[in-house]
Amino acid sequence: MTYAGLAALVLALAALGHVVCRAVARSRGTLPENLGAATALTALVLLALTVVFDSAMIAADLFRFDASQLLGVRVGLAPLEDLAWPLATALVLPALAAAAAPRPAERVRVDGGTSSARGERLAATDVTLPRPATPAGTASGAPAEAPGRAPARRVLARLVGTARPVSWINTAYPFVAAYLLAGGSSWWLGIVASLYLLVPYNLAMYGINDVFDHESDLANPRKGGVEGIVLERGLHRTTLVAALVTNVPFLVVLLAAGTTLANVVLVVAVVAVVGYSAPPLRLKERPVLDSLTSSTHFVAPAVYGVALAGGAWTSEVLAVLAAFFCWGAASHAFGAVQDVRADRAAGIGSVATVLGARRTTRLALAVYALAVVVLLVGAGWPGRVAALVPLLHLVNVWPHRDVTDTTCETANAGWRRFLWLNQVCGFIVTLVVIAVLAGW
Amino acid sequence: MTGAYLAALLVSAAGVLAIDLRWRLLLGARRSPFGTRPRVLGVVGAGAALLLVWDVVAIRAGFYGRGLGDALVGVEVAPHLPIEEIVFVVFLAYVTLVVAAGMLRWLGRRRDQWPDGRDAS
Repeated sequence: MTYAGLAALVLALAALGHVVCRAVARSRGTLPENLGAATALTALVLLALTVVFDSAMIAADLFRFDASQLLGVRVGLAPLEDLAWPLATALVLPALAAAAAPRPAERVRVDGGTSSARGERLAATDVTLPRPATPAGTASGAPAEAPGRAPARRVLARLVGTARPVSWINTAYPFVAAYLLAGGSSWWLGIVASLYLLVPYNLAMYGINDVFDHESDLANPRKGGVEGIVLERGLHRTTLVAALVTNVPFLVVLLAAGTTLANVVLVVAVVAVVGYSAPPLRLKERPVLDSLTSSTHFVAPAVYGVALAGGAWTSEVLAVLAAFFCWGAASHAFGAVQDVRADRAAGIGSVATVLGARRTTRLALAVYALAVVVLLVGAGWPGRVAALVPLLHLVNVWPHRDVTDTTCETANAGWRRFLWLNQVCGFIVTLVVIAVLAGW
Repeated sequence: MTGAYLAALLVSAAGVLAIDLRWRLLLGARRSPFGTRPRVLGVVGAGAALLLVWDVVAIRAGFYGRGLGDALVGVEVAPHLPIEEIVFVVFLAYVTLVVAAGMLRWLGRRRDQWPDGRDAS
Protein backbone atom coordinates (compact mmCIF):
# COMPACT_ATOMS: atom_id res chain seq x y z
CA MET A 1 0.00 0.00 0.00
CA THR A 2 1.17 3.55 -0.68
CA TYR A 3 0.55 6.65 1.41
CA ALA A 4 -2.32 7.49 -0.98
CA GLY A 5 -3.89 4.10 -0.30
CA LEU A 6 -3.66 4.64 3.45
CA ALA A 7 -5.08 8.15 3.09
CA ALA A 8 -7.99 6.83 0.98
CA LEU A 9 -8.68 4.12 3.52
CA VAL A 10 -8.63 6.62 6.40
CA LEU A 11 -10.95 8.93 4.47
CA ALA A 12 -13.37 6.09 3.78
CA LEU A 13 -13.36 5.18 7.47
CA ALA A 14 -13.75 8.85 8.39
CA ALA A 15 -16.76 9.18 6.08
CA LEU A 16 -18.28 6.08 7.61
CA GLY A 17 -17.57 7.42 11.11
CA HIS A 18 -19.17 10.72 10.17
CA VAL A 19 -22.36 9.02 9.03
CA VAL A 20 -22.56 6.77 12.07
CA CYS A 21 -21.92 9.67 14.47
CA ARG A 22 -24.59 11.75 12.76
CA ALA A 23 -27.08 8.93 13.10
CA VAL A 24 -26.21 8.54 16.79
CA ALA A 25 -26.46 12.30 17.37
CA ARG A 26 -29.81 12.43 15.59
CA SER A 27 -31.23 9.60 17.65
CA ARG A 28 -29.95 11.20 20.88
CA GLY A 29 -31.33 14.59 19.96
CA THR A 30 -27.90 16.24 19.97
CA LEU A 31 -27.46 16.80 16.22
CA PRO A 32 -26.90 20.52 15.63
CA GLU A 33 -28.79 22.07 12.77
CA ASN A 34 -26.38 22.85 9.91
CA LEU A 35 -23.78 20.29 11.00
CA GLY A 36 -23.34 19.24 7.36
CA ALA A 37 -22.69 22.77 6.15
CA ALA A 38 -20.46 23.48 9.16
CA THR A 39 -18.46 20.32 8.41
CA ALA A 40 -18.01 21.31 4.77
CA LEU A 41 -16.90 24.83 5.67
CA THR A 42 -14.60 23.54 8.42
CA ALA A 43 -12.98 21.21 5.91
CA LEU A 44 -12.37 24.13 3.55
CA VAL A 45 -10.78 26.24 6.32
CA LEU A 46 -8.59 23.37 7.50
CA LEU A 47 -7.57 22.53 3.92
CA ALA A 48 -6.37 26.10 3.43
CA LEU A 49 -4.52 26.06 6.75
CA THR A 50 -2.95 22.71 5.87
CA VAL A 51 -1.67 23.89 2.50
CA VAL A 52 -0.01 26.87 4.17
CA PHE A 53 1.34 25.31 7.35
CA ASP A 54 2.18 21.86 5.98
CA SER A 55 4.27 23.64 3.38
CA ALA A 56 5.97 25.69 6.08
CA MET A 57 6.62 22.59 8.18
CA ILE A 58 8.08 20.71 5.23
CA ALA A 59 10.24 23.72 4.35
CA ALA A 60 11.51 23.70 7.95
CA ASP A 61 12.41 20.02 7.54
CA LEU A 62 10.25 18.90 10.45
CA PHE A 63 9.43 15.71 8.60
CA ARG A 64 10.42 14.06 5.35
CA PHE A 65 8.55 11.88 2.90
CA ASP A 66 9.65 8.80 1.03
CA ALA A 67 9.14 10.22 -2.45
CA SER A 68 8.71 6.75 -3.95
CA GLN A 69 5.56 6.25 -1.84
CA LEU A 70 3.95 9.52 -2.93
CA LEU A 71 1.67 10.25 -5.88
CA GLY A 72 3.96 13.16 -6.58
CA VAL A 73 1.28 15.84 -6.67
CA ARG A 74 2.05 18.73 -4.38
CA VAL A 75 -0.09 21.67 -3.35
CA GLY A 76 2.51 24.18 -2.31
CA LEU A 77 5.02 21.82 -0.73
CA ALA A 78 2.30 19.68 0.82
CA PRO A 79 1.85 16.27 -0.81
CA LEU A 80 -1.73 15.75 -1.97
CA GLU A 81 -2.05 12.81 0.43
CA ASP A 82 -1.54 15.09 3.43
CA LEU A 83 -4.80 16.86 2.61
CA ALA A 84 -6.55 13.75 3.91
CA TRP A 85 -5.60 14.91 7.42
CA PRO A 86 -7.80 18.03 7.54
CA LEU A 87 -10.58 16.26 5.63
CA ALA A 88 -10.63 13.33 8.03
CA THR A 89 -10.57 15.49 11.15
CA ALA A 90 -13.32 17.74 9.79
CA LEU A 91 -15.43 14.71 8.94
CA VAL A 92 -15.01 12.88 12.21
CA LEU A 93 -14.46 15.28 15.10
CA PRO A 94 -17.48 17.63 14.95
CA ALA A 95 -19.81 14.69 14.27
CA LEU A 96 -18.19 12.67 17.05
CA ALA A 97 -18.51 15.57 19.49
CA ALA A 98 -22.16 16.03 18.53
CA ALA A 99 -22.78 12.33 19.09
CA ALA A 100 -21.03 12.43 22.47
CA ALA A 101 -22.68 15.64 23.68
CA PRO A 102 -24.93 15.28 26.70
CA ARG A 103 -28.58 14.89 25.86
CA PRO A 104 -30.39 18.18 25.93
CA ALA A 105 -32.39 18.94 29.02
CA GLU A 106 -35.86 20.34 28.43
CA ARG A 107 -35.10 23.14 26.06
CA VAL A 108 -37.63 25.84 25.42
CA ARG A 109 -37.38 28.03 22.41
CA VAL A 110 -38.67 31.52 22.71
CA ASP A 111 -39.57 31.78 19.05
CA GLY A 112 -41.77 28.73 19.00
CA GLY A 113 -39.56 26.36 17.04
CA THR A 114 -38.26 23.05 18.29
CA SER A 115 -34.71 22.09 18.99
CA SER A 116 -34.82 18.34 19.37
CA ALA A 117 -33.42 16.23 16.58
CA ARG A 118 -36.87 15.06 15.71
CA GLY A 119 -37.90 18.65 15.41
CA GLU A 120 -34.97 19.42 13.18
CA ARG A 121 -36.94 18.94 10.03
CA LEU A 122 -39.76 21.07 11.34
CA ALA A 123 -37.28 23.73 12.33
CA ALA A 124 -35.69 23.62 8.90
CA THR A 125 -39.09 23.98 7.30
CA ASP A 126 -40.16 26.72 9.63
CA VAL A 127 -37.40 29.05 8.55
CA THR A 128 -38.18 28.42 4.91
CA LEU A 129 -41.87 29.13 4.75
CA PRO A 130 -42.59 30.97 1.56
CA ARG A 131 -42.63 34.67 1.82
CA PRO A 132 -43.74 36.99 -0.90
CA ALA A 133 -40.71 38.31 -2.71
CA THR A 134 -39.72 41.75 -1.55
CA PRO A 135 -39.59 44.45 -4.19
CA ALA A 136 -35.84 44.03 -4.31
CA GLY A 137 -36.40 40.38 -5.15
CA THR A 138 -34.46 39.10 -2.18
CA ALA A 139 -35.62 37.04 0.71
CA SER A 140 -36.02 38.57 4.08
CA GLY A 141 -33.73 36.86 6.52
CA ALA A 142 -34.62 35.00 9.65
CA PRO A 143 -37.15 36.70 11.85
CA ALA A 144 -34.38 38.10 14.02
CA GLU A 145 -32.76 39.81 11.07
CA ALA A 146 -33.63 43.23 9.85
CA PRO A 147 -35.98 43.16 6.86
CA GLY A 148 -34.50 43.66 3.42
CA ARG A 149 -31.49 41.85 1.98
CA ALA A 150 -30.63 38.47 3.40
CA PRO A 151 -27.15 38.61 4.92
CA ALA A 152 -24.46 37.06 2.76
CA ARG A 153 -23.72 34.31 5.24
CA ARG A 154 -27.34 33.18 5.24
CA VAL A 155 -27.46 33.18 1.46
CA LEU A 156 -24.27 31.12 1.43
CA ALA A 157 -25.69 28.71 3.99
CA ARG A 158 -28.83 28.33 1.89
CA LEU A 159 -26.84 27.77 -1.30
CA VAL A 160 -24.64 25.16 0.37
CA GLY A 161 -27.76 23.48 1.75
CA THR A 162 -29.46 23.66 -1.64
CA ALA A 163 -26.50 21.90 -3.26
CA ARG A 164 -26.99 18.98 -0.77
CA PRO A 165 -23.50 18.53 0.71
CA VAL A 166 -24.54 15.03 1.75
CA SER A 167 -24.76 14.13 -1.97
CA TRP A 168 -21.59 15.82 -3.22
CA ILE A 169 -19.59 12.67 -2.86
CA ASN A 170 -22.12 10.74 -4.96
CA THR A 171 -21.20 12.59 -8.14
CA ALA A 172 -17.50 13.29 -7.54
CA TYR A 173 -16.65 9.83 -6.30
CA PRO A 174 -17.80 7.84 -9.36
CA PHE A 175 -15.69 10.15 -11.50
CA VAL A 176 -12.58 9.92 -9.32
CA ALA A 177 -12.82 6.14 -9.04
CA ALA A 178 -13.38 5.69 -12.78
CA TYR A 179 -10.65 8.17 -13.70
CA LEU A 180 -8.07 6.49 -11.46
CA LEU A 181 -9.06 2.97 -12.46
CA ALA A 182 -8.95 3.90 -16.15
CA GLY A 183 -5.41 5.17 -15.67
CA GLY A 184 -6.04 8.90 -15.94
CA SER A 185 -2.66 10.58 -16.07
CA SER A 186 -3.38 14.30 -16.00
CA TRP A 187 -3.54 15.29 -12.36
CA TRP A 188 -4.73 18.84 -12.85
CA LEU A 189 -7.50 17.70 -15.19
CA GLY A 190 -8.61 15.05 -12.70
CA ILE A 191 -8.69 17.59 -9.88
CA VAL A 192 -10.58 20.21 -11.92
CA ALA A 193 -13.16 17.64 -13.03
CA SER A 194 -13.64 16.22 -9.54
CA LEU A 195 -14.04 19.69 -8.04
CA TYR A 196 -16.61 20.46 -10.75
CA LEU A 197 -18.55 17.29 -10.02
CA LEU A 198 -18.22 17.82 -6.27
CA VAL A 199 -19.94 21.20 -5.97
CA PRO A 200 -21.03 23.16 -9.09
CA TYR A 201 -22.62 20.11 -10.73
CA ASN A 202 -24.70 19.49 -7.60
CA LEU A 203 -25.59 23.15 -7.21
CA ALA A 204 -26.92 23.07 -10.78
CA MET A 205 -28.74 19.77 -10.28
CA TYR A 206 -30.43 20.54 -6.98
CA GLY A 207 -30.65 24.31 -7.39
CA ILE A 208 -32.56 24.07 -10.68
CA ASN A 209 -34.60 21.28 -9.16
CA ASP A 210 -35.58 23.29 -6.09
CA VAL A 211 -36.48 26.37 -8.09
CA PHE A 212 -38.78 24.52 -10.48
CA ASP A 213 -40.11 22.23 -7.76
CA HIS A 214 -41.07 25.02 -5.45
CA GLU A 215 -44.80 24.47 -5.59
CA SER A 216 -44.80 20.69 -5.28
CA ASP A 217 -42.15 20.77 -2.53
CA LEU A 218 -44.34 22.97 -0.40
CA ALA A 219 -47.04 20.34 -0.47
CA ASN A 220 -44.59 17.63 0.55
CA PRO A 221 -43.65 17.40 4.23
CA ARG A 222 -40.78 15.05 3.42
CA LYS A 223 -38.86 17.83 1.71
CA GLY A 224 -37.07 20.20 3.99
CA GLY A 225 -34.72 17.97 5.96
CA VAL A 226 -31.73 15.92 4.93
CA GLU A 227 -33.65 14.52 1.99
CA GLY A 228 -34.46 17.81 0.39
CA ILE A 229 -34.70 21.42 1.15
CA VAL A 230 -37.48 23.82 0.36
CA LEU A 231 -35.99 26.86 -1.23
CA GLU A 232 -37.60 30.16 -0.45
CA ARG A 233 -38.75 32.06 -3.47
CA GLY A 234 -36.54 35.07 -2.91
CA LEU A 235 -33.44 32.95 -3.44
CA HIS A 236 -34.52 31.50 -6.78
CA ARG A 237 -32.71 34.03 -8.94
CA THR A 238 -29.63 33.93 -6.73
CA THR A 239 -29.56 30.14 -6.96
CA LEU A 240 -29.82 30.03 -10.74
CA VAL A 241 -27.16 32.73 -11.13
CA ALA A 242 -24.86 30.92 -8.67
CA ALA A 243 -25.33 27.66 -10.58
CA LEU A 244 -24.51 29.37 -13.88
CA VAL A 245 -21.50 31.27 -12.53
CA THR A 246 -19.97 28.22 -10.86
CA ASN A 247 -20.63 25.84 -13.75
CA VAL A 248 -19.58 27.77 -16.83
CA PRO A 249 -15.86 28.30 -16.05
CA PHE A 250 -15.38 24.63 -15.17
CA LEU A 251 -17.24 23.50 -18.28
CA VAL A 252 -15.19 25.79 -20.52
CA VAL A 253 -11.93 24.36 -19.14
CA LEU A 254 -13.12 20.75 -19.24
CA LEU A 255 -14.53 21.00 -22.77
CA ALA A 256 -11.33 22.64 -23.98
CA ALA A 257 -9.20 19.90 -22.44
CA GLY A 258 -11.31 16.82 -23.12
CA THR A 259 -11.47 14.43 -26.04
CA THR A 260 -14.52 14.43 -28.29
CA LEU A 261 -15.95 11.39 -26.56
CA ALA A 262 -15.39 12.89 -23.11
CA ASN A 263 -17.04 16.13 -24.22
CA VAL A 264 -20.08 14.28 -25.55
CA VAL A 265 -20.47 12.50 -22.21
CA LEU A 266 -20.07 15.75 -20.29
CA VAL A 267 -22.73 17.45 -22.42
CA VAL A 268 -25.09 14.50 -21.89
CA ALA A 269 -24.52 14.79 -18.13
CA VAL A 270 -25.23 18.52 -18.09
CA VAL A 271 -28.32 18.10 -20.28
CA ALA A 272 -29.57 15.41 -17.89
CA VAL A 273 -28.92 17.69 -14.92
CA VAL A 274 -30.73 20.68 -16.43
CA GLY A 275 -33.43 18.71 -18.24
CA TYR A 276 -34.37 16.71 -15.18
CA SER A 277 -36.31 19.53 -13.62
CA ALA A 278 -36.22 22.51 -15.96
CA PRO A 279 -39.02 22.98 -18.48
CA PRO A 280 -39.64 22.21 -21.28
CA LEU A 281 -38.00 18.78 -20.79
CA ARG A 282 -38.78 18.33 -17.09
CA LEU A 283 -37.83 14.67 -17.37
CA LYS A 284 -38.56 14.06 -13.71
CA GLU A 285 -42.26 14.09 -14.48
CA ARG A 286 -41.96 11.68 -17.40
CA PRO A 287 -42.43 8.19 -16.03
CA VAL A 288 -39.48 5.81 -16.54
CA LEU A 289 -37.45 8.58 -18.15
CA ASP A 290 -37.33 10.09 -14.65
CA SER A 291 -35.48 7.09 -13.22
CA LEU A 292 -33.19 6.79 -16.23
CA THR A 293 -32.28 10.48 -16.10
CA SER A 294 -31.65 10.37 -12.37
CA SER A 295 -29.35 7.41 -12.79
CA THR A 296 -27.55 9.27 -15.57
CA HIS A 297 -26.69 12.03 -13.07
CA PHE A 298 -24.48 9.60 -11.17
CA VAL A 299 -23.33 7.19 -13.88
CA ALA A 300 -22.38 9.89 -16.41
CA PRO A 301 -19.56 11.15 -14.14
CA ALA A 302 -18.14 7.62 -14.06
CA VAL A 303 -18.42 7.27 -17.85
CA TYR A 304 -16.83 10.71 -18.13
CA GLY A 305 -13.98 9.55 -15.90
CA VAL A 306 -13.20 6.62 -18.20
CA ALA A 307 -13.53 8.78 -21.31
CA LEU A 308 -11.39 11.62 -19.94
CA ALA A 309 -8.70 9.16 -18.88
CA GLY A 310 -8.75 7.58 -22.34
CA GLY A 311 -9.44 4.23 -20.68
CA ALA A 312 -10.23 1.03 -22.55
CA TRP A 313 -13.91 0.05 -22.83
CA THR A 314 -13.38 -3.54 -21.73
CA SER A 315 -16.29 -5.84 -20.99
CA GLU A 316 -15.52 -5.51 -17.27
CA VAL A 317 -15.75 -1.71 -17.44
CA LEU A 318 -19.02 -1.88 -19.38
CA ALA A 319 -20.47 -4.42 -16.94
CA VAL A 320 -19.66 -2.23 -13.94
CA LEU A 321 -21.13 0.85 -15.62
CA ALA A 322 -24.26 -1.05 -16.66
CA ALA A 323 -24.76 -2.40 -13.14
CA PHE A 324 -24.22 1.07 -11.70
CA PHE A 325 -26.88 2.40 -14.08
CA CYS A 326 -29.31 -0.36 -13.05
CA TRP A 327 -28.67 0.41 -9.39
CA GLY A 328 -29.26 4.13 -9.92
CA ALA A 329 -32.50 3.65 -11.85
CA ALA A 330 -33.85 1.10 -9.35
CA SER A 331 -32.99 3.34 -6.42
CA HIS A 332 -34.71 6.32 -8.02
CA ALA A 333 -37.81 4.29 -8.80
CA PHE A 334 -38.02 2.98 -5.25
CA GLY A 335 -37.48 6.50 -3.95
CA ALA A 336 -40.55 7.63 -5.88
CA VAL A 337 -42.77 4.98 -4.28
CA GLN A 338 -43.13 6.84 -0.97
CA ASP A 339 -44.42 9.91 -2.85
CA VAL A 340 -47.10 8.16 -4.93
CA ARG A 341 -50.01 9.69 -3.08
CA ALA A 342 -48.41 13.11 -2.65
CA ASP A 343 -47.40 13.24 -6.31
CA ARG A 344 -50.81 12.15 -7.53
CA ALA A 345 -52.50 14.71 -5.32
CA ALA A 346 -50.22 17.38 -6.76
CA GLY A 347 -50.80 16.12 -10.31
CA ILE A 348 -47.16 15.14 -10.77
CA GLY A 349 -46.20 12.07 -12.77
CA SER A 350 -43.44 9.65 -11.85
CA VAL A 351 -42.53 6.08 -12.60
CA ALA A 352 -44.36 5.12 -9.42
CA THR A 353 -47.58 7.05 -10.08
CA VAL A 354 -47.89 5.31 -13.44
CA LEU A 355 -46.91 1.78 -12.45
CA GLY A 356 -48.31 1.95 -8.93
CA ALA A 357 -46.38 1.48 -5.70
CA ARG A 358 -46.23 -2.30 -5.69
CA ARG A 359 -45.23 -2.82 -9.31
CA THR A 360 -42.60 -0.07 -9.05
CA THR A 361 -41.11 -1.65 -5.94
CA ARG A 362 -41.00 -5.05 -7.57
CA LEU A 363 -39.49 -3.57 -10.71
CA ALA A 364 -36.80 -1.99 -8.54
CA LEU A 365 -36.15 -5.37 -6.93
CA ALA A 366 -35.80 -6.97 -10.35
CA VAL A 367 -33.44 -4.28 -11.59
CA TYR A 368 -31.29 -4.59 -8.45
CA ALA A 369 -31.17 -8.34 -9.10
CA LEU A 370 -30.13 -7.64 -12.67
CA ALA A 371 -27.29 -5.48 -11.37
CA VAL A 372 -26.16 -8.32 -9.08
CA VAL A 373 -26.11 -10.74 -12.00
CA VAL A 374 -24.33 -8.33 -14.35
CA LEU A 375 -21.59 -7.75 -11.77
CA LEU A 376 -21.19 -11.42 -10.90
CA VAL A 377 -20.98 -12.45 -14.54
CA GLY A 378 -19.20 -9.54 -16.14
CA ALA A 379 -17.09 -7.62 -13.66
CA GLY A 380 -14.25 -10.08 -13.12
CA TRP A 381 -12.21 -10.20 -9.94
CA PRO A 382 -12.21 -8.20 -7.65
CA GLY A 383 -15.00 -6.16 -9.29
CA ARG A 384 -17.32 -9.08 -8.59
CA VAL A 385 -17.22 -8.21 -4.88
CA ALA A 386 -19.17 -5.05 -5.71
CA ALA A 387 -22.20 -7.28 -6.38
CA LEU A 388 -22.68 -6.97 -2.61
CA VAL A 389 -23.90 -3.43 -3.18
CA PRO A 390 -27.03 -4.09 -5.26
CA LEU A 391 -27.57 -7.21 -3.16
CA LEU A 392 -27.71 -5.12 0.04
CA HIS A 393 -30.13 -2.73 -1.65
CA LEU A 394 -32.25 -5.68 -2.73
CA VAL A 395 -32.41 -6.82 0.88
CA ASN A 396 -33.26 -3.28 1.97
CA VAL A 397 -36.21 -2.97 -0.42
CA TRP A 398 -37.42 -6.56 -0.02
CA PRO A 399 -39.64 -5.89 3.06
CA HIS A 400 -41.59 -3.36 0.97
CA ARG A 401 -42.41 -5.72 -1.90
CA ASP A 402 -46.11 -5.82 -0.96
CA VAL A 403 -46.54 -2.08 -0.49
CA THR A 404 -49.74 -0.64 -1.93
CA ASP A 405 -50.62 2.81 -3.19
CA THR A 406 -52.49 3.54 0.04
CA THR A 407 -49.56 2.47 2.23
CA CYS A 408 -46.91 4.00 -0.02
CA GLU A 409 -45.62 6.26 2.78
CA THR A 410 -44.34 3.19 4.63
CA ALA A 411 -41.67 2.94 1.93
CA ASN A 412 -40.09 6.01 3.53
CA ALA A 413 -38.57 3.70 6.15
CA GLY A 414 -36.79 1.86 3.35
CA TRP A 415 -35.73 5.16 1.83
CA ARG A 416 -34.25 6.35 5.11
CA ARG A 417 -32.30 3.09 5.39
CA PHE A 418 -31.23 3.60 1.78
CA LEU A 419 -29.59 6.91 2.65
CA TRP A 420 -27.19 5.41 5.16
CA LEU A 421 -26.87 2.06 3.41
CA ASN A 422 -25.47 4.10 0.54
CA GLN A 423 -22.58 5.18 2.73
CA VAL A 424 -21.83 1.59 3.69
CA CYS A 425 -21.91 0.69 0.00
CA GLY A 426 -19.52 3.54 -0.77
CA PHE A 427 -17.18 1.95 1.74
CA ILE A 428 -17.46 -1.45 0.02
CA VAL A 429 -16.86 0.11 -3.39
CA THR A 430 -13.85 1.97 -2.01
CA LEU A 431 -12.31 -1.25 -0.78
CA VAL A 432 -12.82 -2.78 -4.23
CA VAL A 433 -11.29 0.27 -5.90
CA ILE A 434 -8.28 0.10 -3.55
CA ALA A 435 -7.96 -3.61 -4.28
CA VAL A 436 -7.94 -2.97 -8.03
CA LEU A 437 -5.50 -0.06 -7.75
CA ALA A 438 -3.23 -2.16 -5.54
CA GLY A 439 -3.30 -4.86 -8.19
CA TRP A 440 -4.74 -7.62 -6.02
CA MET B 1 16.36 27.32 16.53
CA THR B 2 15.73 24.41 18.84
CA GLY B 3 12.19 24.29 20.14
CA ALA B 4 10.80 26.81 17.66
CA TYR B 5 8.26 24.30 16.32
CA LEU B 6 7.02 23.40 19.79
CA ALA B 7 6.84 27.08 20.68
CA ALA B 8 4.91 27.83 17.47
CA LEU B 9 2.44 25.05 18.26
CA LEU B 10 1.88 26.30 21.81
CA VAL B 11 1.49 29.91 20.68
CA SER B 12 -1.01 28.80 18.00
CA ALA B 13 -2.94 26.74 20.54
CA ALA B 14 -3.00 29.73 22.91
CA GLY B 15 -4.34 31.89 20.07
CA VAL B 16 -7.10 29.42 19.25
CA LEU B 17 -7.94 29.14 22.94
CA ALA B 18 -8.19 32.94 23.14
CA ILE B 19 -10.66 32.95 20.22
CA ASP B 20 -12.54 30.08 21.85
CA LEU B 21 -12.86 31.92 25.16
CA ARG B 22 -13.59 35.32 23.64
CA TRP B 23 -16.49 34.02 21.54
CA ARG B 24 -17.49 31.29 23.99
CA LEU B 25 -17.26 28.71 21.22
CA LEU B 26 -16.14 25.47 22.77
CA LEU B 27 -14.26 25.40 26.08
CA GLY B 28 -15.36 28.99 26.54
CA ALA B 29 -19.00 27.92 26.45
CA ARG B 30 -20.68 26.41 29.44
CA ARG B 31 -22.31 24.14 26.95
CA SER B 32 -21.65 24.23 23.22
CA PRO B 33 -23.41 22.12 20.54
CA PHE B 34 -20.39 19.87 20.96
CA GLY B 35 -21.13 19.22 24.59
CA THR B 36 -19.85 20.26 27.97
CA ARG B 37 -16.15 20.82 28.71
CA PRO B 38 -15.31 17.30 29.96
CA ARG B 39 -16.88 15.71 26.89
CA VAL B 40 -15.19 18.15 24.54
CA LEU B 41 -11.83 17.34 26.12
CA GLY B 42 -12.64 13.64 25.78
CA VAL B 43 -13.40 14.05 22.09
CA VAL B 44 -10.19 16.05 21.56
CA GLY B 45 -8.28 13.25 23.27
CA ALA B 46 -10.00 10.56 21.24
CA GLY B 47 -9.40 12.47 18.01
CA ALA B 48 -5.73 12.98 18.88
CA ALA B 49 -5.38 9.27 19.66
CA LEU B 50 -6.89 8.30 16.29
CA LEU B 51 -4.57 10.69 14.48
CA LEU B 52 -1.60 9.20 16.34
CA VAL B 53 -2.62 5.71 15.21
CA TRP B 54 -2.69 6.98 11.62
CA ASP B 55 0.71 8.58 12.20
CA VAL B 56 2.28 5.44 13.61
CA VAL B 57 0.91 3.29 10.79
CA ALA B 58 2.28 5.71 8.19
CA ILE B 59 5.66 5.96 9.92
CA ARG B 60 5.99 2.18 10.29
CA ALA B 61 5.09 1.77 6.62
CA GLY B 62 7.87 4.21 5.84
CA PHE B 63 5.73 6.85 4.14
CA TYR B 64 7.39 9.61 6.17
CA GLY B 65 9.65 10.12 9.14
CA ARG B 66 11.06 12.93 11.22
CA GLY B 67 13.12 15.55 9.49
CA LEU B 68 16.36 17.06 10.65
CA GLY B 69 15.19 20.67 10.95
CA ASP B 70 16.78 22.41 13.92
CA ALA B 71 13.35 23.73 15.00
CA LEU B 72 12.72 20.31 16.54
CA VAL B 73 13.57 19.74 20.19
CA GLY B 74 15.03 16.39 19.22
CA VAL B 75 13.11 14.19 21.64
CA GLU B 76 11.38 11.15 20.12
CA VAL B 77 8.61 9.35 22.00
CA ALA B 78 8.86 6.50 19.48
CA PRO B 79 11.10 6.01 16.46
CA HIS B 80 10.53 8.94 14.07
CA LEU B 81 7.75 10.31 16.29
CA PRO B 82 8.99 13.59 17.77
CA ILE B 83 7.36 14.84 20.95
CA GLU B 84 5.99 17.78 18.97
CA GLU B 85 3.78 15.42 16.99
CA ILE B 86 1.77 14.63 20.14
CA VAL B 87 1.16 18.33 20.67
CA PHE B 88 0.33 18.73 16.98
CA VAL B 89 -2.40 16.08 16.88
CA VAL B 90 -4.01 17.51 20.04
CA PHE B 91 -3.86 20.96 18.48
CA LEU B 92 -5.34 19.74 15.19
CA ALA B 93 -8.23 18.02 16.97
CA TYR B 94 -8.89 21.11 19.08
CA VAL B 95 -8.71 23.64 16.25
CA THR B 96 -11.05 21.48 14.15
CA LEU B 97 -13.74 21.62 16.83
CA VAL B 98 -13.26 25.35 17.41
CA VAL B 99 -13.57 26.08 13.68
CA ALA B 100 -16.64 23.83 13.43
CA ALA B 101 -18.25 25.49 16.47
CA GLY B 102 -17.48 28.87 14.89
CA MET B 103 -19.10 27.77 11.62
CA LEU B 104 -22.21 26.56 13.45
CA ARG B 105 -22.45 29.93 15.14
CA TRP B 106 -21.87 31.76 11.86
CA LEU B 107 -24.51 29.75 10.06
CA GLY B 108 -26.96 30.42 12.87
CA ARG B 109 -29.32 33.27 13.10
CA ARG B 110 -27.49 35.63 15.37
CA ARG B 111 -23.90 35.81 16.39
CA ASP B 112 -24.71 35.33 20.04
CA GLN B 113 -26.90 32.31 19.42
CA TRP B 114 -26.39 28.71 18.55
CA PRO B 115 -28.47 27.54 15.56
CA ASP B 116 -31.20 26.14 17.77
CA GLY B 117 -31.83 29.57 19.17
CA ARG B 118 -30.19 29.06 22.56
CA ASP B 119 -28.11 31.96 23.74
CA ALA B 120 -24.42 31.19 23.63
CA SER B 121 -23.05 31.32 27.12
